[in-house]
Amino acid sequence: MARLSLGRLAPLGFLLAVAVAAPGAAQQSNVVSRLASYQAPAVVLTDSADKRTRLDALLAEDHPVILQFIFTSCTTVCGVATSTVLAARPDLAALRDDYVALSISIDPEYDTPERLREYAGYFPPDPHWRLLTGSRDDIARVLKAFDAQFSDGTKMTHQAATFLRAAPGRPWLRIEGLIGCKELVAQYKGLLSDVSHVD
Amino acid sequence: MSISAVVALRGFAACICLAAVPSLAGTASEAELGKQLYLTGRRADGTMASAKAEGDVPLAGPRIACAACHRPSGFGSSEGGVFTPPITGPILFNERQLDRARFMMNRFGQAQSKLFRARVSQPRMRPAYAPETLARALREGVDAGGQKLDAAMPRYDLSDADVANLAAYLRSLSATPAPGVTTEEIHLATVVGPHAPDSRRAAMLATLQAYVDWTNKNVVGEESRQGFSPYHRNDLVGGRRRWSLHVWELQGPPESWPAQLEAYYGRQPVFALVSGLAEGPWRPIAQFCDSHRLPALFPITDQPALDDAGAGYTFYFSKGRRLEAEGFAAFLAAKSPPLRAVLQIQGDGAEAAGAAADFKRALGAKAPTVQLLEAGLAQGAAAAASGTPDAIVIWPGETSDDALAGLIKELPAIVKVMLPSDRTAFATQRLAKDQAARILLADPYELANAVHPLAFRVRAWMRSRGLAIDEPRLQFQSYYAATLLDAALSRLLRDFYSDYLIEAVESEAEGDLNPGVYPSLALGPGQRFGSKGMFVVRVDDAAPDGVAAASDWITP
Repeated sequence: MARLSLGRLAPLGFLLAVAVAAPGAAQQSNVVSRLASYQAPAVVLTDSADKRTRLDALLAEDHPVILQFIFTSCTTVCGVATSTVLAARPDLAALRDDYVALSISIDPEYDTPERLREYAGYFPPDPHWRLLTGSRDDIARVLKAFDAQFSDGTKMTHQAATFLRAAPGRPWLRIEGLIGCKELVAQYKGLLSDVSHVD
Repeated sequence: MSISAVVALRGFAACICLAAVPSLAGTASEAELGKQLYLTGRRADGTMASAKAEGDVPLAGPRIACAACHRPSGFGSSEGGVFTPPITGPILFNERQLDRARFMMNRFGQAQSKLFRARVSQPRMRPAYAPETLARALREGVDAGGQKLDAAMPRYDLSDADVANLAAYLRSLSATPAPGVTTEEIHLATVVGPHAPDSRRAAMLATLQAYVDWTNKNVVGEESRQGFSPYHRNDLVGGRRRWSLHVWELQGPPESWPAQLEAYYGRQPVFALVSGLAEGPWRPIAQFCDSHRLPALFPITDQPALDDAGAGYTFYFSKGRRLEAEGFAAFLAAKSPPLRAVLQIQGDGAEAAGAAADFKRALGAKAPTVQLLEAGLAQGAAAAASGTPDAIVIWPGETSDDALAGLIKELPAIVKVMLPSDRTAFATQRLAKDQAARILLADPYELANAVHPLAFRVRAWMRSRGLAIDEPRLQFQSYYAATLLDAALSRLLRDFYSDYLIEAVESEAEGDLNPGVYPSLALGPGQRFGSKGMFVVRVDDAAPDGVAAASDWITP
């Protein structure tokens, strides 16, 4: 696909809308990304082990976070997006191993914890990875908080995106569309080094 | 339900049509192995193919299969901002043709991202695929015209034999349109079981016929004014057909239904079933549909064919009684402090037995510490007296209202009694007030005080057609089935294939068609149940429907 920089013109209106060139990535990135500030709502989500977790508390822990919205019956982009994060694990972990990879369901009534387990079974196990679901209303609040609502209310039109954050209080890097492992690692590296410069 | 299971069953059906077109299919074994590769990602030597998308992302499991994105029909998909083009034989092995109607549908028919719109706005012209260019596309991601394919298209590790097998299968894929469609008409049927009450039968048929008449007037109007629209609607008219609705009335016991359905289908094949009404199990009808790859949209039944629904051709509103059993179990499991014991009383018939088994399984999984006491109808009162349960769940099944009322009167007065949704009228109208106060009901529908914007429009539509709204819930259900079929058919344009219709229904169900019978209706690839939850309600004289919520929406 021609990844035009069209997306860079898209939704300004909120903070720090810049295209991020990952430090250390020599070649020009064709990934559409921008920094933004998102506040996770205080909702209780359930993971694939039936454990209930407050999302805002989870994201307030001092870990880098890689977050994606998926639905388990998706046959197209979700599996590729999940595969990217899981396949990049050795390289991500080499940079900083305490990251948390979150897959949050956008089809929560279908995606019961049991279905999340079935979905996870298609991929190599990864201790960094947690899959979350919740009530329809709570998931809608999370989607709104991350500006990830689907335009006409149908999940088939949701946009593939990956959200990275180095630490609590730091901005989120929003990467639109599907990306490869190398690109994800470069973006992760850039975010981490950005934190070390600032702090 | 796994994707591989879905594609496997639908693939089985697809291989039936191989036999009908041997001249196009290569040798049978080639096409058979190609089908395996297309649907499951398994190569001729039995190993799974390996592939990378987005340059360096290895794919795993069923998602590696062609059918994941290109779908069992081969007509592709639009999802998550990624446009997956059709790859059926006639498309792949011919020079790329521009189709203005298809373009309009892809470009304007859905709210996709800018990248998606840019992709479909840049048609890539290419010559017909040949074996060597197909191999290059699969391995290196370069199309027959020498252009690079999207990075989302995996690059596969396939032998020449694998590519030849796949080509043989693709030549047969969606090569023969489904029966029941002529150049002018789409034949549809609705099934009515032997014990459907007359008033409900009449209300459903009147609603469906009104929708058919309305559709046909629109089709005739559009056909008679060629060039009527300066915009793209005119381009879509070529795919429109008049609807012809057949009513398939069933007689006798469910075991005899398949033969009756075969006879109806033999006289006039149809492209889809729409709505429908039968007391008793829907399984015989669902199995008939699966055997003919006949899509069936939203019959009104409490007893869907659950166990093979995931891979089947029937869409249901909900899991019916099983949803209610699992919902009650979730409701009771969430009680704090935890309950000590629950008594389950099983009434007459197979439906009651099924619900009791579902409840037992669900309660065991969700609340293993709760003791489950079980009794038949005759022993119910004694079991309640001796076991001192915290709650009593009754599955009356075919038990009469009188017998049920007699039982409830004998149960200890302080314990809540839980009943399935088909006894709502019984609880609100038949039971004495003091008895009704202790009843909790399963309610898989939207609460009466919720207002859906579309409900007003649907009522207005019915009134303006002179339709009496005697059975509002059922008529809204039938209306939804018809509108969803309409929306899905319009996505097919001129490509009338069963699997493609199934895929269109899966993706259209979540749109703005829900007239408010359920809080939300949504499907996805492989999903067969539109609504996934229920309320627990109590009897309340002041509420419009006589019931008020006693729980949040429960999705077990």
